[in-house]
Parts: sequence; C-alpha cells; structure tokens
Amino acid sequence: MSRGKVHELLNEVYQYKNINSDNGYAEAKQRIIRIRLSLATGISMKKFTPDSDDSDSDVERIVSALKGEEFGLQGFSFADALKKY
Amino acid sequence: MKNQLISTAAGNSVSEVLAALGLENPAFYMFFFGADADVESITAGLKKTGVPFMGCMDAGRLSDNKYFLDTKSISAMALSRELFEGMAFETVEMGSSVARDTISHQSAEALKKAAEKCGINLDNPDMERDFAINILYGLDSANSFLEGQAVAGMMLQSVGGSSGGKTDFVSSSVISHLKSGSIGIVGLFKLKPQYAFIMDRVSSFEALGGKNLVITELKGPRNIQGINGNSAVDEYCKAVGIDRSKLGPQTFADFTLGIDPGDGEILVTSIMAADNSGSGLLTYNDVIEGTEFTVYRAVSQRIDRQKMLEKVKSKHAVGYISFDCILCYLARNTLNQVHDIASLYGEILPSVPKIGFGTFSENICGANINQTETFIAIYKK
Repeated sequence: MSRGKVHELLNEVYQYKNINSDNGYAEAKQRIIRIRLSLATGISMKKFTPDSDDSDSDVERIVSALKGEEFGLQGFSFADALKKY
Repeated sequence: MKNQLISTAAGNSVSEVLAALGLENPAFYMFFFGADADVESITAGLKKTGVPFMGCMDAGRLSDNKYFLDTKSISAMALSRELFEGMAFETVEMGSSVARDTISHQSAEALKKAAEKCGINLDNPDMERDFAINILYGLDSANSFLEGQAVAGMMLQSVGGSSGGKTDFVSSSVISHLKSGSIGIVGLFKLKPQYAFIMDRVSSFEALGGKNLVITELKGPRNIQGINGNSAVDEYCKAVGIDRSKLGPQTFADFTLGIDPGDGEILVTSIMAADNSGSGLLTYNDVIEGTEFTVYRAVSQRIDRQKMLEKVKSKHAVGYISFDCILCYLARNTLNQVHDIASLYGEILPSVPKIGFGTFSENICGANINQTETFIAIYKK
C-alpha cells in the first residue's frame, strides 16, 4: 500500500504532457485521460485521491495501461516518477 | 425549428423533410429514421442535394421537443457552412466479417486522413473548436472503432452512437454520402473561431452500496462467466438482492454496472440477458477481466437531465445533437415519462434546434457506454 501514489503519478503524467496548469483545456484533457484509464484498467479512477491507500496491484495496472500507445508516454520515465513517492 | 445557423425538421419522406429544413448554404445534414422508412429513397434523395450527410436507422428519435418511437418517421438537422472552418468524413467497414483489429486499424487511419483534410492536429486539437461525430453500425461492437480513434488522437473530443432498428437485430443501416450499410462513419469538424462546443454525458443512477463486482472470468468480451470467483448470475443476484427467477430486461435496466472515472459521471455497462448456460451474463458493451464494477440503481431521468440542460442553456447554444441510449427511450416509455422528459428540452432550450436518436450504445471521447445520453451543443462565443 502506498498513500496517494496513483494521484501523484497522474500529476507527473499531466506535467509531462503539459496539462497540469489550471485552465479549462488542461481539465478537459485530464478528464479524457481518466476516462481512458478507467476503460483500460477496469478500475474506477475516482478511488485514487491524495489520501487513498493504493495497492501495488492497482499501481501496476495503472502503469501498464499508461504504457499503451494511445497515452503517448513513450518518453516518460515511470521508474523516475514512481521513485519520488 | 430554425435559426440562422441550424434548422431541424421531421416528417415521413426525404423530400418533405428537406423542404421543411429550408436552410441556406447547408454544410451537412444529419438524418435519423425508423426501421420501416425507405432507406434507399432517403439516401438517393440526400445524394441529389450534393450536400454531405451522415445518419442511421434507429428505434426511436428526437426532433426538437418531441420523441418519436414509430418505425417510419425521419428526424433531420441541417447545419450551415457559416459554422465551420473545415470538415471531413471517412467510413470504415464494420460488418461481422471484419476482424476487430482491422476495424481498429482502419478507424485510426480514417481519423488521421480526416484530420489531415481539415487541418486538425490530433496531438493537440483545439479543445473548443475541433470535434468528431461517430455514427457506428449498431449490430457490431463499437469498441474496436473507438479504440482505433484513441490511438490516432486520444485528446480529440468525440461523441456519437451506434445505429439501431427493430429488436429482431436484423437490419441497422448507417448512411452517408460516401457509403452506406454496415459501416462506421466519422465526421470531423473544425468550428470557425467565433463558435465553440460543449460535449458531455448524463445518466441517472445512484450507487447501490455493497462490495464491488470484480470480473474474474470471461467467455468473450461480452459474456461474463465469473464475478468475485463465483457464478456471474449468482453474484449479480446477491448484489441486487433478488432471486434469479426475477432476472429479466426490467431488472437489468434498473440495476446496472458501472465504473467511475472521477469526472462526476459514471461509465455504464448494461446487462442484456443471462446466457444460455444460465450462469453467465451477456452485456451490451465490451468488458475486460479484472474490471471492478459498482452496481447502480436507476433513478428518475428528470433531475440529472435538467441540470445538464441548464448548463447548455447558460452557453446560449444554437444547436443540440443527442445520442441517447435506446434503453433510456424505453425506460421513459415504461415509466410514462416520455412527455415529461421531452418537455424538459422544450422548457429549458425552447428555441434551440435539437436532434437525436435512440442508440444501441453511445460514445464519448473513446468510451463506448450504455444507458446514458451523450451530446454536443454548439454555441456562439
């Protein structure tokens, strides 16, 4: 279990994709990522909050889905992002 | 109903409807029609106009403030050239003989080709002006088509639905100026800078509580055999608190499955029936192993739709296109809410031209879902 790990990982992904700023477009793009992640993993993304206890298996499923071609994260270092938390 | 940019009309023949639309300089038409309407004459009549069109057969349709559940009428919308800076259409074969991987690949290629034609950057689309509308062949899964689009351009906002027809599931044509039949068509649009759109989804459910239903065994993407390690039927019945003798369309409509992406709305997967073995469940949507479904109970459509329509009203929309699950159409009919819900559209958006059809699954931003209305409304900034 890791507290808020998925939430933080997603923040890293938003930053990498330059959609972390507080504007309407960023919000819309983050929304699409959450929808596609829910579909790809079968997990309700709603359960991942800054305070949620995220299981290792959930984190693995999220990482595996994010490595899919559609998310365009080929240059993103998951190892570095996960090391931070 | 008509304004300077969009007009709508309903009727029983293509010539009557085209005459009633009466919009100058139409950029394209949307046409939805019942299963007994003459598809050939509709397509031929529309082709004669030289204006691009997309549409499909359905089991129910919206025209302005009225729902039609007959099998012959036509609901149509014309959208003016004044709205668009660019548009492009591409089709993909979707019949049962086409492999899912092929549909997915061709859908990705179709979107890329359309984007090139109308100058849309799929890696960084304009979130206010660029959008896609998908009308997909309803007798086959929409999932592979949508997955292809997500690979080609995940950030492009898209909306649409799968065609319907009679519940014998024999015929369900999609029509367009390019090709018709068992196809999927994507229309890609770039609005002029002075216009923007709002795209969203609305369903009407509340979480039932209790533990999640985790899919532990599948016999195909739409056949759930195991839930939480036990028989799918037994676990579903336990979760909703009914005896298996009560399983049927009404129970499945009342108690549905969903996952929550955390954006204020759920992604619904509806159950169609128990399978022949009596222990598995057939769904209207593709499911993957490991999915953790929450069980939801249907509630009145009025409150959620009212909230959504008020949001559209605040934007001063000039047109509204709805892709509303046929199960929602049927639920309104069963609950005697047809007039009640239709009148909401009239009360809140009285002068906004509206069109829609009862979908055999609706889509939004790459998600294929059930028992939901997805929509797009265009407004002047």
